[in-house]
Parts: sequence; C-alpha cells; structure tokens
Amino acid sequence: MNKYLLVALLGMNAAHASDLTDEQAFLGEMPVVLSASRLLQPQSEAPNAMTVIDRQMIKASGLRSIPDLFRMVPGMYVSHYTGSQAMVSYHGTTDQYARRMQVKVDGRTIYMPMLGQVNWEDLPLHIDDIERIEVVRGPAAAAYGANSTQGIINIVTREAGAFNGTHFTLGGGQSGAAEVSLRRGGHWREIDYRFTVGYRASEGYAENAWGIQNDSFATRLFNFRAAYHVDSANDLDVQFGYNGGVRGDGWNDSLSNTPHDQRSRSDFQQISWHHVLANGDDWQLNYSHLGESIDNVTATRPLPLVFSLDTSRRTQRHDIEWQHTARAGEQHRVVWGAALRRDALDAPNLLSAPRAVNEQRLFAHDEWRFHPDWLLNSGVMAERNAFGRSDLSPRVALNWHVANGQTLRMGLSRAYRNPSLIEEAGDYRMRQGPFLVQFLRASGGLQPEKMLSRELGYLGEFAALDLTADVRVYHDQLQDVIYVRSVPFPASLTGRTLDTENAFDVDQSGLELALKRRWGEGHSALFNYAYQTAVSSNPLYPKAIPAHTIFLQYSKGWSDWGSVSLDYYQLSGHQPFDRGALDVQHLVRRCDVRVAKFLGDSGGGQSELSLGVQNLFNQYQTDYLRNNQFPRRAYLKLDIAY
Amino acid sequence: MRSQRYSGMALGLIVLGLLCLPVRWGAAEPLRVALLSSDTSLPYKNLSDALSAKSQQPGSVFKMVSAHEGHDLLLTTGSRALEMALGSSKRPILALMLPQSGYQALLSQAGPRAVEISAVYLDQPRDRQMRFVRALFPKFRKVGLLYSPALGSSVAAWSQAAADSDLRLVSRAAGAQEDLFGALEEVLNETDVLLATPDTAVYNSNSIRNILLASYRWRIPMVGFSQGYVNAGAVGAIFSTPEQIAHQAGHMIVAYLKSGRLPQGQFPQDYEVAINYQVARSLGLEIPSVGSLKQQIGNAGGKQ
Repeated sequence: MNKYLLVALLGMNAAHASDLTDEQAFLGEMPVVLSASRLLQPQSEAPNAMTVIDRQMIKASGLRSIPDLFRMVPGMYVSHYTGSQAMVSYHGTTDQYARRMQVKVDGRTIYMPMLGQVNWEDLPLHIDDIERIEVVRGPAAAAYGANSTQGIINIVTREAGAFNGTHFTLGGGQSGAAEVSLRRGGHWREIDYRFTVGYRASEGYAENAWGIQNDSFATRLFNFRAAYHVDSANDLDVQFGYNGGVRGDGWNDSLSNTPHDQRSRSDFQQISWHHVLANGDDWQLNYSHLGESIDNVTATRPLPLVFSLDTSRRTQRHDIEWQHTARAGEQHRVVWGAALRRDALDAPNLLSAPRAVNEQRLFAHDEWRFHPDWLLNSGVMAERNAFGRSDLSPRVALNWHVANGQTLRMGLSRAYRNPSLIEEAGDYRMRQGPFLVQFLRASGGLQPEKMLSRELGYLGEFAALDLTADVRVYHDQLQDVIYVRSVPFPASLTGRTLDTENAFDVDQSGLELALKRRWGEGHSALFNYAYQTAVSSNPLYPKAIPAHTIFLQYSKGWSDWGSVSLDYYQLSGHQPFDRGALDVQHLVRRCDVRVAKFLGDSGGGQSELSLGVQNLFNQYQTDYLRNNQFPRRAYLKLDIAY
Repeated sequence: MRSQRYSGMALGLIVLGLLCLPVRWGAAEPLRVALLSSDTSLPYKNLSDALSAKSQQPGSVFKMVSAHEGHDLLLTTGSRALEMALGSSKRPILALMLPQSGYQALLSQAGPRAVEISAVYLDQPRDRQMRFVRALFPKFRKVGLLYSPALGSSVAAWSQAAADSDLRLVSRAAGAQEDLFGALEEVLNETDVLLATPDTAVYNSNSIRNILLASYRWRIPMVGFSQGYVNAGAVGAIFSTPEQIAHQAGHMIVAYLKSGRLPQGQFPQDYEVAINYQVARSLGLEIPSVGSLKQQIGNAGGKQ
C-alpha cells in the first residue's frame, strides 16, 4: 500500500459527479432499524383476534370522531350518552361508563380510574394524528396490563418523522359541527417533529320532545411529538399535548343535574427512550404523566330549583414502565417488563377525601415457535392494584398454520377488572345548606370482576384474491360483575342511596366475522358481522346485548380524481341495561356516504374536498337514550396539503 | 557444403532462440501488480487482503508490489483511488470496488486518456437484481424505485430490466428532503416491493432510517444491495464479497496476460444473497432458501 499516495488522496475533497454513485453506499455499516420490538406480529401469529384500523379505513369511513371509528370492529358497541360523551365497549356494557376495556394511546393508558371511563372528547388527539388503531378482541392482560377484561384499544399516533409538510383542514356541517386544524411535520438536524393544533365543536343532539339536550361542546387541542435519533442505537421520543374545552351537561328534567357547563382541561407529557442492542434485541423506558380536571361552571340557563350538582374532579397520573424484547434462540421471542403507576384523585363531591393510589405490575410474554407451523404464545401479568390486592392474569394461545395462508387459533385467558375508585370508595353527594342528597355511598370491600375467556379463531389470507377472512367463536365467563343496588340511607333527603356490590355473573358467547377484500383499480370492501348472546343470573343483562351487528364498507379510489365510499351499519334492538323501557333501542339501520375530490395536482400529500352524509336515508334511530335522536347530518371538509 | 552447415546451424540457433522465447515468457517473472486504495477501512482492507491471498496462491501469474516500485498493472479500489490513478498512472488500470455508474462518471470526467482501463463493478447488473426480486417474491408484480433527478436517465434501463423479469417498474423522482417523503409515499402506495439503489441523494445515512420505517409501516418489503441493509431491516440483499471480486480480478489479470489487452469492464460473476427472516415473517412473507434463490437467479453473465 502506498502511504504517500493515500495521504495525497485524503487531502482531496472536491465534490464531483461520482459522489452520487460512489462505493460508500455499499460499504457503510447500518444500524438495526427494525429491531425486535418494532417487528409487529403478523395477524396470523397474534394470540388474540385483532382488528387493525388503518389510515385508509379511517379516511374511507368519513368519520370525524374517534369513538365512531370503533363501529368498524366486529362486536364493538359504540353509542353516545350525550353529544359529548361517547361509550365504546366490547360486547356491551352495563351503563354509560364503559369500563371493561383498556384504552391506550402510544402505550399511555388513558382509562381514568375515577369513574372508570375514557373521556374521548378530552383526548389531546386529532383523528388525523392516528397512524393505526389495534383493537384486541378479548382479554390480553399479559401484554396490555390490567382492566382489559373485554379487550384493548391501542391507538398508535403517527411518528414524528412520518410526514413532512403542512396540512390544513376546515370543516363544517349540520348540528353545528365545525372544525379547523393545522398539522405540520418537519425535520431539524437529527430531530423529526410534528405538531397539531385544532378546534372542533358541535351542538350534539337536537332538542326534541324529551329534552333540550344540553350537550354541545367546543374543544381546543394541541399536541407535539418529536423524535431525536441520538445515535444508531438510541432514540428518544417526546410527546406532550393539551386539550381544553367547554361541554354542556345536565338535563332539563333532572332536579339535581340541571343544565350547566363543564370546563374540561387535560394534558399529558410522555418521554420514551428506546435502545437497540447489537443483535436486534431492544429495551424501552417510558414515563408519562396525565392530568385532567373537570370543573362545573354554574348553570347558564335559569333554573327552577336552587340545587346544583357539582361533579368537579382532578386526576393526576404518573406512570413509568420498562420493557425488554429479546430473541432467545431461534424459537423464542420474549417480552418482559415492569411498571409503576400512581394516580391521585381529588373530587370533593364524589369521594370523601382526596386519595392517591399506587399500582405495580410485572409482565412477561413468550412466543415459542416449536415447529415452523406451530406457535405457542404464553404470557402472564402479576399486579398489585390500588386496593392492595394481588392478582395473576395468565394467557395462553396456540396458533397452527394449517396450510398456506390458513391459521387456526385456540386461546384461553384469565383477566381481572379492579373496581374503579367510585365503585369501591365513592361518596357521591350533593349538599345544599342542611340538605343532603346521597346518590351513591360505596361500602367497599369489592372483589375484582373475574373473566375467563375461551376462544377458537380462524384466519384465512388468500393472497391471490387479496382477501382476508377472520372468524372468532368465543365463550366468556364474567363473574362478580360490579353493579349498584338501592339501600336505605336515612341521612339522605330521599331516604335511600345506592351501594355497590359484586352483583351477578354473565356467560357470554358469540361469533365474530370480518372479511376484507381489495380488487381491481382502487376497490376495497370490508364486511363485519357479530352475533352475541348471554346467559346471566341477572335477567336484564341478556336483553341489553344486541344480538346481531353488521357493518359494511365499500370504497373506490381513483388515483386522478378522488374517492367514494359507502358505509352500512346495523344494530339489533336491545334494552340498555341501566335504563327503563322508555329507552329501549329499536333496530338501527344507518347508511353513510362520502365523496372526496382531489384538488390541485396529485403531488405527494393530497389536497381534497369531501362531502359526507351520515344517516343518508334519515332512518329514525336513537343512541342509548330516547333523547339522543340521530338525524341526517351532512358535513363538508377541506383538506389542504403543501 | 560448409555454407549449408553454417546456415543450418544458424537456422537451428534461431529456431532454438525462438523456442526459448515463449518458454522464457511462461516461466518469466509474474506480472507486477500495484494496488491503490481509497481508504484503509475494513472493506478496502478485506479486498486488498483477498488480492494478496490470490497473488500468493501456487501457480499465480501475478504478484503484488508497492506502487513506488515499477509495476505493470495498477489496481484501484474505490473511486478516489481511480480518480487519482486516471490523473497520473502510466500503466493500465483495473478499477475495483465501485459501481458502474461511478466508474463511467469518472471516465467521462477525466476525458481522453493514454492508458488502457477496465473494471470489475461493485454493483449487480440490473437484470440480476430484478431476477432476485422475482425469485424472492414470486407473487409480486410491481417493483418500486426512487431516484434522484441527476440519475433520471437510468430509469428507462431499470424499466426494461424489470419488464424482462415480468415486473412493472413504479418510479418517482425524489430530490431534496421535502420531496422525498411525498415521492416515497406515492411509490409505497402503488408498489409491492421497494428496491434500494446506491443513489446517495436518496438513500443516505439521514434518510435510510425513515425510508425503512415508512416502507415497514406500509408493509412493503425492501430489497437492498449490501449485508448492512439486511441488518437494518431490508428483507433481502444481493451483493458480491471482496473475495469474489478478487477472484474475478485474478481472472481478468490472466486474460490480460494471455491477450495483452484488458477485458471490457464487467459485472461480478459471483454474488451472495442475504435474507432477514424475522422481518420477512413479520410481513407474512415466505422466502425460499438461499440455494433455491441462487438457482433461480442463475449466473447469466449479467447484461445491464
């Protein structure tokens, strides 16, 4: 080797055409980008039935609110208690607080332990920020933590580096619906970032013979996400957001909960550190903080009575989690980790005193491929919950690749739902001078609800037809379901109050089917069907489960023009569990249509104008209560990308 | 009589002399080959070690000498070494370890030259890359390509190579950072697989990560051109090792000795195939074994 000539070469640094095609591209070392935890399990190897809602499905549906998206999941019950309070529950629910599902956004649990609910309207999340939603149909505590007896919704937002440029949307429609948002993604040195600023409003359900429907809302939200690629082995992901809004609440036929406004503020901050090891294994450390405060603002309408119910509350949550994903030999992939969570709650009229509760959990999951055609998924979660109780939630599933593209799955899992704070220690009351009305006084000592779920699943992937068929048959045994009953309480003005108890058992079984097909130039269709039946010691519960649910979506896209999509949704009649016969829900049939036209030239990032009509044929339907009459609604939206 | 004997002897001597000459060439000094490297890092070192090993094999017709000393043939590894050699070498040059496009760009930049020059390219011929894509994914019909505007002229050749393997090319120009995302999304939307090319305006240390993550998000596998790509997350890659390049350089040297001229610039004959089975499984793709892949790709010399 000629050292003299090499030195001379090193001195050369003139740019020349061959810079574009020199040998460096072939020779450089590359970091592991798709590390062990980033590799998604293919649907055929997942231990549960999973429905993935991706961006294309979201767009084709024309839906503008996140809870509505879950109509595209077989077996999911989606309704509204008021215009601003949505209910999303898998396999039905006992009341407006759908508390048997775990809901996460980017790994951050947003299920609130106070009432046991998810405040969908309070999420600092815009529907266009969503990359995909994974809905696990069935319990999966070992992977997702507690409170997932019926299933898990995992919302994954777009990564900071997912797009470059600016998107602007403006929309308006009937029922006073309006929205405007601005999203921007960019890049600065090794940092990718994106942020969203948005505003949305609606007047909710219209006034009718049953009430004035004080359920309008106006929400302002902001979120920011940045990814700092420290070096080839380390990534830092930082997110924060804020959502503030005013919501109408209360009923004009209630003596206590009279129409008033609620001011809602929620914020979150999250930081994740992802480290990739040389062999592609990785670990991740997540810290998140969520804060929420809801304040009752005094009534905006004149009241006949002086009572005013104040359900103001403040929640703070801190959560730290560590997770390690490793390949142990050719046959095993192991994920294990630990987490700590602290929730502090302050609600003067819902609890006797402010409380802080701590939870610890340990989890482990193994994928064992003991034969090329067989996969055994096993996992367990050990948890010490807020009330000092320890539980073990194991799960096992066996997947068999019967033939090319055909997989059978057999699964068994146990899960627990801990009582929410109000169920265990609620002191829900209204005091006015010497008068006390006690709505709920929980005597405590509740057992967690227990779930044992058995399922048989089939997944067929027919590549030649571009068709996927997903069938699931299940039998769930839910024990010790927590519910209320009326008990004497002399101190209350009414002489009685509600107490909570482990009230009844339910055996639910059913069948779920999902078919997805793409064909030709831009045609795609989705068909979901769910059949549900229940047997229970409580005679009301089986009537509260809609027997048949159908969802059909067809969409056609033209690369140079735009797209058209049609949705059909059908829900069998049922009697909501906690409502009287007046609120019986009749058969619901709804058609939605959406037409979108591209604007400008088809550069990367489409601008488009879209018109959507929900309940096209104006079929009479109500959501959960007879007050909530769903009208025909048209909506116009402009999306500009540049 | 005496004159006949003398002319006979003279003829004999001449014939003997003539007979000796080729024998002298055959048993003569091995060809003196000097090596100029662009860098001392591992890949270059691997190639120079492989060349040295080849030169020391029994029956080898060449030996490695230092560039200071007199030499008969100059080998260069990398583009910077070639650029230097083009300016100053008085001896024929055999360029190694750079892609065909880089080699041709440097030649046209250097203008008319006095010495003979040839190369063993580092990249695989286009039709072999397309046969690789076809063998990896028998059910796919569309292959995506992102290119920088400066290399736009190669698209027609890529399109032809794809068509020869019964594939359709989906291509978009992508230049600056902002363009890249839009073009990438468009390609990913239409294609079945993304083929990476050594076009550093598109595929560079800043962009590779986001391109891999984006294609994974779209469930589109990526095919690369080095082991590094497979480690990062591409489903497969086809490339030639330093040993294989050195082996071919040796053949070219033998051909040079036999005919006195360097053979034309050529693509590597031998290649390796690497697969990332985890990523393939995660995308739900069944990949045939390396042996059966190589059989399908074949070794038809490689036309570009």
